[in-house]
Amino acid sequence: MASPSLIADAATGKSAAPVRGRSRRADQRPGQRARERRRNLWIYAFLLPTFVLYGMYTLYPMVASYWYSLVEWNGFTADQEFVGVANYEKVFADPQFWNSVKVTLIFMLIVAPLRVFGAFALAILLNSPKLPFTGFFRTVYFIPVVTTTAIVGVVMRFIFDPASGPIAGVLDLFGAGPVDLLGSSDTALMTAGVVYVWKFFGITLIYWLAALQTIPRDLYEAARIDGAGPLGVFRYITLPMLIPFLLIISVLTIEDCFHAFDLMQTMTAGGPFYSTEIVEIYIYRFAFAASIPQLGHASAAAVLFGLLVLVVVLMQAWATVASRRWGNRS
Amino acid sequence: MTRINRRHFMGGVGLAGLTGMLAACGGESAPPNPGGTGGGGGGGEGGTFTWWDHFGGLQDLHAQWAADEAERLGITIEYSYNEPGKATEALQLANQANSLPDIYSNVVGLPLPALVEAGWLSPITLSDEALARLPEDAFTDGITRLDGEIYGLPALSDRQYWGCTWFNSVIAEEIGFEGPKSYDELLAALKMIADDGTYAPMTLALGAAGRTRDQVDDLAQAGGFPGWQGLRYDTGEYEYHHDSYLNAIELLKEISDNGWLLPGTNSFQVPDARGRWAAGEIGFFIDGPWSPGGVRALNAEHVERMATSGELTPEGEELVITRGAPAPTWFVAGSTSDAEMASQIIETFTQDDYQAALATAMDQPPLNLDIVAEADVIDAYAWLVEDFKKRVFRAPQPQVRKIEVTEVQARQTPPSTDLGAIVQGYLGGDITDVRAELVKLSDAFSAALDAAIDDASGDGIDVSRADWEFADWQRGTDYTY
Repeated sequence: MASPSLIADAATGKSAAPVRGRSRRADQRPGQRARERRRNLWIYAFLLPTFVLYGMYTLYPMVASYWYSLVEWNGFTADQEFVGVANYEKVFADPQFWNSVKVTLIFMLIVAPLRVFGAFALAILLNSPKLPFTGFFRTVYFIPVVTTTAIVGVVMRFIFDPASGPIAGVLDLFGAGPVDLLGSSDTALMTAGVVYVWKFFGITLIYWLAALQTIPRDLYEAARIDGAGPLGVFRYITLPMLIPFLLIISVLTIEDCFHAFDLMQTMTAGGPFYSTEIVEIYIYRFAFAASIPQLGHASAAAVLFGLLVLVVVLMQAWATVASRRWGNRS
Repeated sequence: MTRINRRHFMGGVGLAGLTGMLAACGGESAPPNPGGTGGGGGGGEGGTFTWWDHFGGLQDLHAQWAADEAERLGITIEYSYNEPGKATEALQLANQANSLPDIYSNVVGLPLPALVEAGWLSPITLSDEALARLPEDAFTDGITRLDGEIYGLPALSDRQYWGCTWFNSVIAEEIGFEGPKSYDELLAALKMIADDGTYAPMTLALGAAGRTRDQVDDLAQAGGFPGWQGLRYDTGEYEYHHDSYLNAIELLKEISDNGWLLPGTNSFQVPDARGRWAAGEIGFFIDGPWSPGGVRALNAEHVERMATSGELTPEGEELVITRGAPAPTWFVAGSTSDAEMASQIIETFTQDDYQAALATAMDQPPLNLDIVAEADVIDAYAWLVEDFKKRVFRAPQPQVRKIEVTEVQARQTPPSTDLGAIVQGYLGGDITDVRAELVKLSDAFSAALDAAIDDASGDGIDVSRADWEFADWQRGTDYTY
């Protein structure tokens, strides 16, 4: 459809060339501008709740955390004594903090690849037009995602109960005896990781399924006409087309894997002996679980944790971009 | 008439919602203000009073008590129970939201003067009748009273110990063991149960680090540690690495290594462990005197099977336990708008019928221990309370001798790790040299105390480590100042 300015130019018989240099706004009639302003007003009106809620529940707590990390405050009193970077010094000097960082990173390294590549493999399978009941299977894999995490954690405690849980029953059949998967520091983190992957696998699966939908069907058809078999189609069509999605799905999943507080708190509460104490539980312990909370210390740990997540995501983004450039050169 | 299209409708709803939300979130957030009118507890003449506590075994009693008192006083009382592990957090968040309940139980770690100064508490006004019902030493400056005003009401006895050896009397009779008094007797009984193979010998709440800490503190004191929670009364020094602590921990380690703990015990929280114990298939369970009350809520049948031999000592010696002055059980919020009415509600906790109901609930023993003998309780609970009267003595407390000490206590931050976690780590094999860990724990506590003293001294408060020394303290006697 021609723009109003072009129509106007055609009506007056003027050349269109000079018009290109003029702003579109200048060509609009006052009525049109008023309508546009009203439309924009509605856009901002619809966006306002999001801005306000995001500001209240995301930006404000972040800014407040930075401030709290510089004060000594127990949360019971109104007294907030400014202590500069003393809280950061205490956090850095606390071996329990570094233990929680280590646990968090190990947990991420266990669960993120399982989620990204496991979900990818399953998405390929579920995307096959030959597979029956795909809708059913997709639903089945997504149901844990919409189940309340805290409830999952509590139920899993019963499932892994070494005295009477079903897992213990199965192990008993093989003569393995009672195995306390959540009560041993050797197995608790891995066990929690498996539950975490099961619980959140569906989100990554949906990402991959959405990515697979973006590959044009005619590419597949062309490849088959050219004689490509299933492996060839996967190797030369599917994989290259999905590489750009790998970055964003990996970043989203890794960032997600740093947040496992509700599941871990209900399953292990960070134990046994801090073996599953991720940074979020460390923060919670200082902020709420202590007889005299140390909100400054907890906030300093939270700020450092935020920076850690940022650094890991930036490193991963850099690695992905670098590898893509290297691939293009070669 | 203007037609409303979808966009107008959605926009209107959005703006209305936003306006409502802003209105709900708006308004100045005033700090708790004793006697003030700012937010907080909404109590008022004929109004609604909120009551929060953390006594799991008293939920039915308190729900009924709240209903009865509401009717008597012509007000509304909203009673809520918070699980002990969450109660402090709930109050902390309520305070920050300026929504403290009018009446709440004492789970806040700060000493009384700090709570008063921060506006958490209103003075409690008790009638002469209520005061007459209480023991003479019910109120102590710095603990429940400040500048002549009562700020905390004790309703529970301080004369109790927490490491009670509960056993299943049916299993005991079937297997053939007596209630153990010494470490060796317990080990022998556990071995008998294990050899029989029908029942699990024992469980604990090892996943609850705080509960494990309390029990090991108690066992260590019973085993001869001259202090409480790692701090020696006589020298004022932390000594978690004292032999009494090591002996108590080694006892648990031996039980664990022999495979006598119910599988899963290493990660059990209190409800997990108590739930298994209440099922009736476990021989022993170490828990506080409140155990029958908690068990009754889970499986009333098991209460009758519960028996206790008190608290273990290494060789079966006479048990000596020390506890401080009666601690506040109940507070009235600084933000309540009717402290008088709130006081009227909580002074009913001094009545004999409440104390009797408390005894009957078999949770924490009532302030008036004598009333237990008349109450409908199991023999084991009655025996335990009689044992408390004989075995529990008054401990010295630095803040009672010198109120300025509370300034230090309010500034003292607990170390990153604690005794309960160390015990869990040792039993689970994560720690091999437990003495070394306990030395580190003592050093960490000592450093935290020194730092708090330095901080307070820097503010001109006259305190020193000597304030924690009670060289004249004698084990087995009530300390007097």
